[in-house]
Amino acid sequence: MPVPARDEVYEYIIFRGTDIKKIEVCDTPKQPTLPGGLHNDPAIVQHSAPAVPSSFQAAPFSRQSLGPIGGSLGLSYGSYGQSITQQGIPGAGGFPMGSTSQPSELSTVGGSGGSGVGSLDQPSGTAPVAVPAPIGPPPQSGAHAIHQTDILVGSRSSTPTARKSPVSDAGVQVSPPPNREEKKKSSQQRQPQQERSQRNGSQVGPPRRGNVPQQQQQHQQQQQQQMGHQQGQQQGQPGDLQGQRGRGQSFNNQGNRQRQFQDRQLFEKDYDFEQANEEFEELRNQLARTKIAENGDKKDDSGHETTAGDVEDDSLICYDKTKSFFDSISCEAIERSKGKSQRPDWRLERKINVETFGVSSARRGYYPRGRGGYYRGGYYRTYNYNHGYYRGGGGYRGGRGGGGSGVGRGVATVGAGSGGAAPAPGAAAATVLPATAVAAAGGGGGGGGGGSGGSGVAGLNGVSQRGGVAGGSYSSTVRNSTPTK
Amino acid sequence: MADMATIPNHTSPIKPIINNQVVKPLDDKSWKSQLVLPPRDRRKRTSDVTDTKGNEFEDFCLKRDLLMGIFEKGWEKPSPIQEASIPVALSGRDILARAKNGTGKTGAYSIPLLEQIDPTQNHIQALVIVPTRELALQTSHICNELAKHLGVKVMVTTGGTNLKDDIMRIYEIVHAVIATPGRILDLMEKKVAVMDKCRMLVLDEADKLLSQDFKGMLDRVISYLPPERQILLYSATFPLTVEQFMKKHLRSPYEINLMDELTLKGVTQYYAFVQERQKVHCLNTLFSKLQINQSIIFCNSTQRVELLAKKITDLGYSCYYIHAKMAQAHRNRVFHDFRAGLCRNLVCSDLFTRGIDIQAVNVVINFDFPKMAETYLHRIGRSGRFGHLGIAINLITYDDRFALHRIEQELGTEIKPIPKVIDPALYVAEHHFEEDDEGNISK
Repeated sequence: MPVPARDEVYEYIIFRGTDIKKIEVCDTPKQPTLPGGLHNDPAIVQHSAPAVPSSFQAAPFSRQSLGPIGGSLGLSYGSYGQSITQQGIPGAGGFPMGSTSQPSELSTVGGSGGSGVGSLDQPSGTAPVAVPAPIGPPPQSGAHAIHQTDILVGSRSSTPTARKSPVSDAGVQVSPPPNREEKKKSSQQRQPQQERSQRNGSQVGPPRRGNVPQQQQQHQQQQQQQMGHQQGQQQGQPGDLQGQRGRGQSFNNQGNRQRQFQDRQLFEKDYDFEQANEEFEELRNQLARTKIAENGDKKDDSGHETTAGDVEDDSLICYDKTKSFFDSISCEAIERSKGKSQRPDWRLERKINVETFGVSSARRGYYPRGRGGYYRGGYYRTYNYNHGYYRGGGGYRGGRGGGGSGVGRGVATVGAGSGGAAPAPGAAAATVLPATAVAAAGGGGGGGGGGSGGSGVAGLNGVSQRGGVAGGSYSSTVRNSTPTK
Repeated sequence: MADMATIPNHTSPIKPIINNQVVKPLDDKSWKSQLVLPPRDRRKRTSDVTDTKGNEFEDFCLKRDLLMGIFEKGWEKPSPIQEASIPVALSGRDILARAKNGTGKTGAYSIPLLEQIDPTQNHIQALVIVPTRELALQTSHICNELAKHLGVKVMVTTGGTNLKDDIMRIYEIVHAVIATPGRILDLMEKKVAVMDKCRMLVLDEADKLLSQDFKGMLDRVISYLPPERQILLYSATFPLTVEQFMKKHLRSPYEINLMDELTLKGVTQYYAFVQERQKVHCLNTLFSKLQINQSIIFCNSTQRVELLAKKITDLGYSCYYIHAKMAQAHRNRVFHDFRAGLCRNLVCSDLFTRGIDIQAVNVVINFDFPKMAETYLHRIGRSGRFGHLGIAINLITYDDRFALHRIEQELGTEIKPIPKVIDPALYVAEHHFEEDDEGNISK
């Protein structure tokens, strides 16, 4: 690999086809990570970042959207997620929202080793982005977001201490009551989020402008819109970093969610059988007509079975008790003996599955790593909280980021690290999660270290999405509860 | 399908059987009046099972202990296939029998099989082979019930279980074995299952067993049987490929064919035209409109089974799912619980296409339309068991349109467009109970 591994996760990278000789999805080498997602760098003596929230946030999302198949499994999972959430909240403080961008930042910083704290601050800048995510009434959050952004941007340069204040601010400011009721949440969230994403693009952007060259920003915004991205770019960071960070969040997810959202709306109405069948009848008639027309000269493959011509009638009497005990209806055995392979085309099936269900796989085996990572994150977080770490507003945010966009990051560094060690809860999550992850996978590309192991790309996307979504819901909750503490 | 009173899909299905009526003794034989009979099933039955010559089980000269088992199972009179095959099977002749889904084939071979077993001889005297593990469990359950008073020991052995346990078991007394091909062959080849006195072999779903899926296994099984043996083949579908096997192993088999047409009279078939991405929506609507007592929903791959099950759960309906790639313990659990009515809907692959008999199922949904007429026929045969009424609903996509037409033609049946309202009398038990009284027999 001519290009060294990087911490940032790209939503996509376009290569020239001729230059690609081989594509390999590799795990990033596991590096011991600190809870905040920092590399375990000897230079870091202390840091305030709570663990990667991503895992956290991921949990709720999965719960909502996927729903347990097996009842019991799902249930237990759900409850687990909940409990976590609550715990997490206090620590998370208002900040969570910033999440998306942060993780990447954190990771970057960590990588660089030295300036852990400083980097943490930066995340605060990001925080605003995340803010929009929360479930609360869209307009409010939007306004907040802007407001915060300003603050954050300002704080960016500030030192670690500054962090605290942003957190508290966020807590106070952003107060849309979180809709915590499970089921409702999922549906409710959906809308706001979508709106949010748009909003982010436009609203959040402005504050940044100060920092970032306009062109870039515009460019980014465009991208966002195209991709359906929510957060990433807005954070005021310069050039590359910005873009990368945001990316983690995944548009795939959005697609998926939209689908779900649409589904839900759609399902409120009954499926119109009559109309559909009318269409079908028309179709049949058309075919019959064309077939009859063509019948004389050639048998068109499409028309073949459609007509009730006499020719076919003979061949189609597949069973006549008076003539033979045996039948000649189509069956597997005969097809196979004819040498027609019944091998399913998995590619095709995948495609169809996406069409039918919005996802292509329900198997959990595919992305275990990423998931483990998430959960892990959750763990860490809790831990931190308990120890009063939350103070590092920055840290928090960072965590958040991890949750949101962080994914990318989470995947690359944190995710990988945690994957191995994934605690039991992680496993639980895994069962429920996979589908979503997969769904996300549809999209092409992420680069980045594949924390998710085998199917790196897919995994990444999935992860990021989840993180993002969850992040949103979480953050809102967090805000309310946290500030006082 | 407008608004009808919808049953909440979450509650547990209604058991098919309603009133607790003690059957009056039909004659003076005191033993019969003392039997504890199950409540009677008053659902309407079609001529697929009622069109008999009027024989009674007592007419076959069966042992009283076996008769007791039969009546206690709630079987009152033999179905057409039972009427036709029991006497012939008792005579020791090879049989090639064809009868529709759910019309009593299991009883048609298990009754003569049990009758012919001598419980005082401690060796395996009969072997029944079926294509799936669940079907083996189901069949052995029936045999055990029938044999309740006989002292005949029936053993079931299938893949997916501990081989050692089966070996231990088979060293004890076993008179009849119900098995899937792989496991029993394994036991035979290990010389654990001694078959040299097994005079009777039944292949249920014979065409499936003789298909490529079990390539040559049955030939090997037969090689372990004594030269003097009776072979019985049962199924609803018999492609010509079975003829080879027949010529090779059966001696002037007695052919029983009770199928004037292929499909069941009691199962009304509909199609609904959908786009692939509308399928879930469509299914959701079906759930809300249909009066499902229990339903089986078929998908074309195990992956889709899981995906769909997940979706259904998300939609707020309860469902189980089952497919061949699950751990056997889970499969057993699901099968057992679904059968016990703990859940209304079951999503499954073609694992459950054949033979599975769950009386409470009144709706079959082909979420994915099958490619083969044979598969289709067996799938829709999961409802309308034993001549009862049921419906089959097929979700048809643009790509399925030819298959729909072809299968319709091949089976000589009609698949109608789904109407706005499906008459509950076509599939809902409460709407078609018979006037009670015996005499279900004449239509």
